[in-house]
Amino acid sequence: MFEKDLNNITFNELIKLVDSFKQNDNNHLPVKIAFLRNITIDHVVTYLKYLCYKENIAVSAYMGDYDNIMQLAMDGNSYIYQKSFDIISICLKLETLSERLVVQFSSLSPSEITEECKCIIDFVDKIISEIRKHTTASIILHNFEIPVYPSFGILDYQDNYKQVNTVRRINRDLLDIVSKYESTFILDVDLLQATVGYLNFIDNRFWHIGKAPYTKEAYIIIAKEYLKFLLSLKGKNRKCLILDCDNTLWGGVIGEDGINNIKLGITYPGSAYREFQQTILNLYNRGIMLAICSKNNESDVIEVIETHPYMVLRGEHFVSMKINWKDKATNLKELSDELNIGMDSMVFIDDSDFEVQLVRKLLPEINTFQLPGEPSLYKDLLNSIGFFDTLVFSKEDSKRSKMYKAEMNRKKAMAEFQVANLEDYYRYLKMEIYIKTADDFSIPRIAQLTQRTNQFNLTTKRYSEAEIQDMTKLKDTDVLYLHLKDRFGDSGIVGLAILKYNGKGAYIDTFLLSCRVIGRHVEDVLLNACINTAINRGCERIIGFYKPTKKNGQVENFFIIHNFLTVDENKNGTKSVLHLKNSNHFKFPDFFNSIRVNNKSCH
Amino acid sequence: MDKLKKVMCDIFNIRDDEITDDVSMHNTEAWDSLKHIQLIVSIEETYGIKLTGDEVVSMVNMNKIKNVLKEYGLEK
Repeated sequence: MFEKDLNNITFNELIKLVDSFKQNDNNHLPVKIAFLRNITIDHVVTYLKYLCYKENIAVSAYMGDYDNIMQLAMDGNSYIYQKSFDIISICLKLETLSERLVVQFSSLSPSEITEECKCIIDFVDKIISEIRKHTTASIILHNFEIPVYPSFGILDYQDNYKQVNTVRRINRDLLDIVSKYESTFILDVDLLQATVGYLNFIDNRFWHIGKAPYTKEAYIIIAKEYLKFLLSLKGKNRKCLILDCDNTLWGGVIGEDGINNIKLGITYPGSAYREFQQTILNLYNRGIMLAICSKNNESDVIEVIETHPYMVLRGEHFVSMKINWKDKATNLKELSDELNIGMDSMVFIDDSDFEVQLVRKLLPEINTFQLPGEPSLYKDLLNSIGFFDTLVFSKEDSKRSKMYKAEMNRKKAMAEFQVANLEDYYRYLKMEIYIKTADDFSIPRIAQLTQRTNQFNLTTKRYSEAEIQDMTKLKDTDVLYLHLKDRFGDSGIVGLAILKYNGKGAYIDTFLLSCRVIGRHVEDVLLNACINTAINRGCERIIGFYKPTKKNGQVENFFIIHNFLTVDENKNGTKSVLHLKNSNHFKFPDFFNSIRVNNKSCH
Repeated sequence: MDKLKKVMCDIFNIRDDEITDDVSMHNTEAWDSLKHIQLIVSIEETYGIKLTGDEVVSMVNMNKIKNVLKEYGLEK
């Protein structure tokens, strides 16, 4: 079904296929998008549904009435607020908002231009502000395409206040507006138009006939951009790039050509490979983990990585290297185990037909890409892979590779350390735990954790930044995060608990731990902190929920182990209670170096 | 006109024998402006041509579509 890629499937075949998708496929993550628009964009949705289906996301879309944007935004009873949409999308064409600015620019005076721009900005600001009164759903705002044939021709773009630069300025002002609101983002259609070219992007016939400005190519690239947003908002963006070496990081085969003859340098084709490495390094700096999977003698590859003068990537950039003669599927599986990340978090790139087909067949959850024959095309293939894109870039992300390397060091230390028992090892780690109430700085990371954590997650509730922000303002809710450091480094924020209070009961809405820190009793400390917080609030009982999913089986008995009593069990999950008045609290294990809750020591 | 018939069948979910010369935007419920765009894109894809705006708006029934294609020398 998905063997045909988007460029090979006919329009009709695609539409029929998308129409045939079942509405309620249990395996698929549902995402509901409401479109507020002054253009016809139904077919963007068609392509988006297709792309999302491949990623196990089922998109359903509601098209608000044509050019009824303000009406829908202002009406508290409108459909867009009834059905808890995940995303509200605002798609505006500048020409419909302001014909004068687009079609009659040369007849406007400077003050008329300023006035017109102000109207547009105020209009957009008002729409978003109205939407935010009624919902915390994410908002995606399309910006405006720059006119490629500006009003004054070559004179136009010499001037900051003629048409081209006026529209650029409006786009920058849109960004200023968007940054005032939580979970509100720009989708840069101008950049997309530049990518495929105006002549391939706009179909002026359909614009006149049906207010549908876009070509098929435009539908595809806009849908692909939406996919990046959806993957990020749902925590399905990928975190690890695994690379082959020969004819990938350098031209030629190291085992046959030798270090002096591989192509890597400042002239073609070596310069293309170097450029590719620089593009990969860019991903590393964005927090993506890099690994190698190559069929070679280890020493041959290491020699290049450590000593070749034109390598951009060095040993320190890779969290792991699988250089051996085993098949790549086995190696990739081992990597998944070693790094403790799912295969649905991995992207694999190789130049070989054989390897690519093998991995696609045996490990379909990994996104595998084959490099084109021509090395100067490598960097743009990598650039066009949207699976790493994220909307939240926290301090944690930029340090992710370092943190994983620190984790590898911990594991090595564990293997080498002469321990009488695990507790001695934990003591050796000198772990410091800081549990705090969420503040503005921690909100992005907290939201990210709720979206990405699947294994040690009791209820798997996904929250956006805006939703977490709202929760921190409520008097009957506590959002507590756990920050962990040890002798190897700072792991950052790795745990979260959200408590909601009702009468004498404290309800554990969310309780999760990053997979990096499982197995060190850190969860015990967090639970204890929750219990103490509930007691301090005068609660008589604390209630925990476990909602089973495919990935969280390991926490099925978490509350039971901590002396909670099961009070209800059905197909939706298990509810258990701990009575606080006379219960024996779980003592903090003594192998932690320090435990501080809201800056008070508890040890 | 086999290629054209296939396009019509695919888009409007009708059988080969239901396609007569007077199938039109007016008498076919599913044929709205969105479907019309799909029809044009599909015809352009199938025949490898690019139609003018005038042609696009004129092709609102089978007869007129056939005439346009004849002008391009694509069908007889």
